[in-house]
Amino acid sequence: MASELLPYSETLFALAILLALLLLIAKMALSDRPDPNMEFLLTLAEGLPKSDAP
Amino acid sequence: MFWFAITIIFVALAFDFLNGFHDAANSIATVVSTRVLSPRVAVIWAAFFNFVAAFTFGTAVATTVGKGMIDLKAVNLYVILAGLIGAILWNLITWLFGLPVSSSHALIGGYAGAAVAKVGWGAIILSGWSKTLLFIFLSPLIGLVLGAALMIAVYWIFRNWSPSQVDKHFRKLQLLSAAAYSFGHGTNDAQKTMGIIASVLYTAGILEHFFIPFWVVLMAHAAIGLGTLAGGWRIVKTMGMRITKLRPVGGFCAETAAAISILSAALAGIPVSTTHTIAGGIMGVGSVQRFTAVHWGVARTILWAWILTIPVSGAFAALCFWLIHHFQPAA
Repeated sequence: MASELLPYSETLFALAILLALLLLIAKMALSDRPDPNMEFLLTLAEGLPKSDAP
Repeated sequence: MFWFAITIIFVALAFDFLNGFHDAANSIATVVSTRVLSPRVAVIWAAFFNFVAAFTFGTAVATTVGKGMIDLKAVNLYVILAGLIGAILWNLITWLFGLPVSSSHALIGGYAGAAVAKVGWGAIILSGWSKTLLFIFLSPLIGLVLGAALMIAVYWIFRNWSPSQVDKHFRKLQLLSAAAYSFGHGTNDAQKTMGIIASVLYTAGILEHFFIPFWVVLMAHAAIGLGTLAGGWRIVKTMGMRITKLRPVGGFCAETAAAISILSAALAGIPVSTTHTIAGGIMGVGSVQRFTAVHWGVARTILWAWILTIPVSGAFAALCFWLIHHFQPAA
C-alpha cells in the first residue's frame, strides 16, 4: 500500500521536505540560542594577548 | 519527473540558504570583534560580497562536487534528495548542540552516503575524494600558517610605527580583507550547491551533458547571500557584548590568510570549509603573539566534530535513502 503511494506523490514528498526545511530555518531564525560558529570564533579570539599591535 | 526535479532544486537552494545562515558568523566574527564594522553593516558587507562572487572565479568546485566525487551513473533524484536531507539533519543537530561544523562537508558527505546506499562503494570516485579529505586537515593548517606568516611580516614591516598608527591603517585594510573573505565564502560554498543542482538537471534529463548554467550560478549566490543576511541578522540580535583581544591588524591577517586559502582552493576546484580556514587564521595570528594564548583545547574539541561531519551526514543520508527505497522500490 505504502509503496504504491510514493510513485504518484514524489513531488509532494519533496515539497513536504522543502516545507519542513523552511519551517526549521524559520524556527532557527527566531531562536534566541547563541550562534555556535560565532561563539567558537569569539572564544578563539578572546584567547589572544592584548598586545597584538606592533 | 520534471516537477520532482524542480522541487529538489528548491530543496538544494534552501540548503544553500541554510549554509549562508549557518556560516554567517565566519564572515562577520573577525571584523565585528575588532570593531571595524558594526554588526549590522558587517552582515550587509558579507552578504553583498557573497553575491558578487557569482561573477568571478568560475565553477571548478561545482564541477568537482557535481561529477568529480560521485559516479553520476549511481545518482538519481532520490539519491540527491536523500543526500540533501542527510546534510540538513547534521547541520541542524550540530547547530542545536552548539557545534561549529562545516556545511560544505555535510553536503558532500550526505551526497556520498546516499549514493553508497544505492549502489555500494563503487559510487565513490577516489581521485575526487583524496583532495577533499586531505584538505579537511590542510585548510585549517594553511590558514594557521598563512595567518602566522602574515602577522610576522606585518610586525617586521611596521616595526617603526606606533600601535595607534598601525591600528588606524589596518582598520581601513580590514574592510578589504573582510570583503575578500566573504568573496571566498560565496564562491566556494555556493559552488557546492551549484554542483548538486547541475546533477539534478543532468539526472532528470533537463541537461544533455553536465555543465553549470549561469542561472544556477546566480540563484546559488542569491540564496547564500540571503542566508548570510538572515543568519547575520540573528547573530546581531543574539550576540552579547563579548570583549575579544583581536585588533584590526590581527583581524586583517586572519581574514587575509583565510581568503587566500579559500580562493586558491576555489581555483583548484577543491571544496574546503570556510569555518576551518577562518578558525585556522585566528589561531595563526594568536600563536605568533603567544603560542599558549590560543585556546587549543577548544580547537581540539571541535576537531572531532569536523572529522565526524562527512561520515555522520553520510550515514544520515544513507538511512534517508533506505527509508525512501522502502516506500519507493524503484528509487
